[in-house]
Amino acid sequence: MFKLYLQLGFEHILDVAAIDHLGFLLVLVSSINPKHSKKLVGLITAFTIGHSVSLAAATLNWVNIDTRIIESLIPITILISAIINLIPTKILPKSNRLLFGTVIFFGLIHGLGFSNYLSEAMRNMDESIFTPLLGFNIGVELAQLLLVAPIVIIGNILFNKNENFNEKLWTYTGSGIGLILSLYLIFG
Amino acid sequence: MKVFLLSICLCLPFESTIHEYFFSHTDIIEKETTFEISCNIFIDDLDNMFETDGFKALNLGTNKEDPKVDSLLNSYIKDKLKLIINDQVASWDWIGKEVSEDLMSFWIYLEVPKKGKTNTFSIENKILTETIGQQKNIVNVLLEDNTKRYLLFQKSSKTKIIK
Repeated sequence: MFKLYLQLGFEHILDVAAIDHLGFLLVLVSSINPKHSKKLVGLITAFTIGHSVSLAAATLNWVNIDTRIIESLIPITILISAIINLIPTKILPKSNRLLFGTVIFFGLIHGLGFSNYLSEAMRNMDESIFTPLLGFNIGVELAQLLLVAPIVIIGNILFNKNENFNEKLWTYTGSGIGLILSLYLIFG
Repeated sequence: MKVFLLSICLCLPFESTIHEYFFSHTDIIEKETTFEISCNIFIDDLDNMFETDGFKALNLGTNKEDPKVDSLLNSYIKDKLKLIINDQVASWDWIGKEVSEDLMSFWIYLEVPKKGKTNTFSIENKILTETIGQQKNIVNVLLEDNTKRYLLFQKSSKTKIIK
């Protein structure tokens, strides 16, 4: 069962229809200099923390939020993070706390979305949703790492090859794409 | 600025889609005289599928639901979900359906009467796989001898043998 849900989680992120995840990752990676790998690892860990908290909460039956609300929160989170990134640093100084907070929140609601679906789908089986949920979450994280890698590589190439390319342009490009994607998802 | 404009152009071809899971869940539990089937399918996916097939305004899962919905659903599932028991496609009785707690999906209940001992058992599940490219159908099987199987069906999947 673990393997089945690991596959589901992995394919869920790599699916073309799950374009919101790519948007989220773009906004996330573009908010930091792609050469700062330590900070990137930190951000991915933050997502894992959020994801794991939702895993625990759902298994212990702490939460019961309407799936539709959670689904709509996902693109809104991307939109908000993109807007934060696009505001000039003179007006809103870059804050690590804000960035990490958004990432933990995204991880949390993403985990909740699936756990709600799963607890409904598994209700006849008399089994805990822990194993499938763990499998799904790990699948999601593996696929995300796979998507983050090329973004970071492209970022590094752009920085190395082009002297005019700077952190500001990097942030604006990634967050710009993320902003448009989330607007599509919300209003499209 | 040029890079920014380029990225906008790159994004335009994407169709807007509300992100969601394209899953269905089916539990098949063997009892003494029957196989109990519960099938969980998203209502909006069924709605879109029926609409493409020319059935409009069925109002699935609402108070104004068209009375022919149950029989439409039954024949659709009959066509897409097949239990092959002792080399024969099993027929089932429609028990009923209900809307899930979150109002997102239908729970459809079916019952296959058993005819003697189950020697061979295989499953085919094509629910929505021809309509939605990324559709994934999860099937949980629990047999009387406590055999548990968790199966995944998608577009290219063939019949899976349980025993």
